[in-house]
Amino acid sequence: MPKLNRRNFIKASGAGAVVAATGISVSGTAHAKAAMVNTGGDAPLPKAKGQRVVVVGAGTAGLTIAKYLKKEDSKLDVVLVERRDMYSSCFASNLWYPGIIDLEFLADHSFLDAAVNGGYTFFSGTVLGLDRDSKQVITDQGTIKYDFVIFSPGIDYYYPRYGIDDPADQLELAQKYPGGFMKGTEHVTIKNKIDNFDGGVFLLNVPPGNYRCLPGPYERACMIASIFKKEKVKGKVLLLDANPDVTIKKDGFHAAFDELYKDIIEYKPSTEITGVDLGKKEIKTEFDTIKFDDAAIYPFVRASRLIETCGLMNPKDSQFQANINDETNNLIGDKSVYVTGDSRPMPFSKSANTAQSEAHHIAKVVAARAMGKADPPYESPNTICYSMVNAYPPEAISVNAYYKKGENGSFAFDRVNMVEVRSAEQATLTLEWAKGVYRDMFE
Amino acid sequence: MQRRDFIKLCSSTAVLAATGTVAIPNGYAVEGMQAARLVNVEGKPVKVASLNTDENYIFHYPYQSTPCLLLGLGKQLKQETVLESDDGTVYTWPGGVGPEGNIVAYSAICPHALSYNSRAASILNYNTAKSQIAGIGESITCCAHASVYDPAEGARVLSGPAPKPLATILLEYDAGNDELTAVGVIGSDVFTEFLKTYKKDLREEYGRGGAEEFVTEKTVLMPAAEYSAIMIQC
Repeated sequence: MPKLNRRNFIKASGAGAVVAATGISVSGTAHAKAAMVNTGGDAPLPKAKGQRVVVVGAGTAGLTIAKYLKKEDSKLDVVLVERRDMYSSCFASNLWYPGIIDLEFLADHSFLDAAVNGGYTFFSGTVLGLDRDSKQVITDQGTIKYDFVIFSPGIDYYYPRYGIDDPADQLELAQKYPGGFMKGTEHVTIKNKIDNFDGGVFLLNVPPGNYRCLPGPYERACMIASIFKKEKVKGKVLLLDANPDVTIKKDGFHAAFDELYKDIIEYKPSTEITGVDLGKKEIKTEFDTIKFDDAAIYPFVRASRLIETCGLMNPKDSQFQANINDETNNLIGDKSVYVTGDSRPMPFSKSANTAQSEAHHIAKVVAARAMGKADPPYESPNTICYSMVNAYPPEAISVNAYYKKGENGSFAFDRVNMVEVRSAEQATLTLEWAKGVYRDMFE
Repeated sequence: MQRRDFIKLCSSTAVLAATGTVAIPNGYAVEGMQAARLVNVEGKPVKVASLNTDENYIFHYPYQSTPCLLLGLGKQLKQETVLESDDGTVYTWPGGVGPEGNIVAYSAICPHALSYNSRAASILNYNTAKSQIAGIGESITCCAHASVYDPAEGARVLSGPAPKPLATILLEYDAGNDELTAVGVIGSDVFTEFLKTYKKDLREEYGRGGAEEFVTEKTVLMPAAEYSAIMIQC
């Protein structure tokens, strides 16, 4: 057996090529400290049984597309890569605060069960990069070769848009006053804030642009106001909106604000956040300085940083979103690479149903292309969106819409059905809708 | 399948029903599945004369936990309709039963995403009035995702995402007593997936394994408005 000196060791581990590609040099001298990086070699996966499709990100889009790829063609070798240990949904999370649902409703869903039920591989790891020449996804657990790769990494927060450039401020905002539109741990923090709120101003805001979950901040304002009303908290919900009016279901939300929360919710449209002073607990807007006692500050929404680091971004996109075909979602110039879910640049609502219905269609597209068949006819995503506007008793409103390309090539709403009169029935349908989304991801 | 053959089959079904096993061509037949007379909450057989036209009634068949919708339709029914099941097999919906031939029954489990009528809410209902999302009246609408079915035509899909009709619950009418018996199922098998998907949810109401037990001899029929806490129309 050859002596295991340093040169033989690197050869043996197969790390050489990857190390070179990532630019990490391993010094030969005993004094230098080498960077130890676990990207060496192939990820511990069995050899691909068919064409391999790697899906990056197990959110609504990723979980749905992994399942439907297998449904379209069971011979595909589907690997879903996710960095989270536990699933917890963003959709329906606002309903947890007043206790309409509990945390189990959001989190009692196993990635492992989803993979077993769907017939694909769930791979625990964090994607670090993409090598489109050699068709490999680079993860912290090793590299994965792909025939097709589908990125559905969601969104990231972008504080500089609010004039918040100091990393110390960004960190303090993210930890102390989280937006609550990305991670389960943010929802836990927000619930604790609401449960412990003693009075004063609870600040919420609506970002400009195509932020995730258009009705989310308005629904959250209603849920918090509902709680303050019921528990007689001497508090006010101050809702700053960068937009000129409520961005969706506005009649339904205004009715709730006026009829249910007249003295609790103060709604300020056309108000953008331009800075913060966290020492003084103040928000700066163009014309005002606003004090708050507690808050959940929703930053500007950009596509996941992974879209940028993996070279999939359109540099002209104001939200750093992917450079993809707006009907088939493939990277412009590369039909092996796709982006679905909220990292997309199309003006569709960034929401669960949109992502799930889009995933049904893109699974068909990728499966057809893998088989060398013609693309299936275009199908618009379907935005079905329920918003709870009252917690005691639960009452909700909803919208159901599709999208259509106009003559100028840009998308507009199509076949819109709004239910803006709040009701207990709509509240029941809200929960039924959410359960259906979980079933379509995990069963 | 000719109508005459089906009636013949019906008589043989009656014989089979007496022995406790039902087998229907293009039917969903599982060993142990039984015929069950429709009774009220007190256990007394329901009389067709007592049923209100166009009202939604719920009973459970063939399993303890699988809900069904029964309707005495006011509108005209098709006598026989040929429908397609999910595996491509074709089946003939035999029309309605009863003295006016207008009693029909279907599985109240929507084959689209398995939304169903529970004690908490009846989400799949018949409405004579025009449905906001369906755009038409006199149809069964599943308010979860707007699938619309025609109960006068074997619960054929009229619009929406449902991939197939609601399964038909075959009923036998006992003219002598004016009573009804559920004797079988034709169409798609939603039950296997339903029992698997809701195993945990159903355990609370039916106990471990209870949801998967067949109804035997009798099954309770009651207005959906009494069974469910909330009736959803959409």
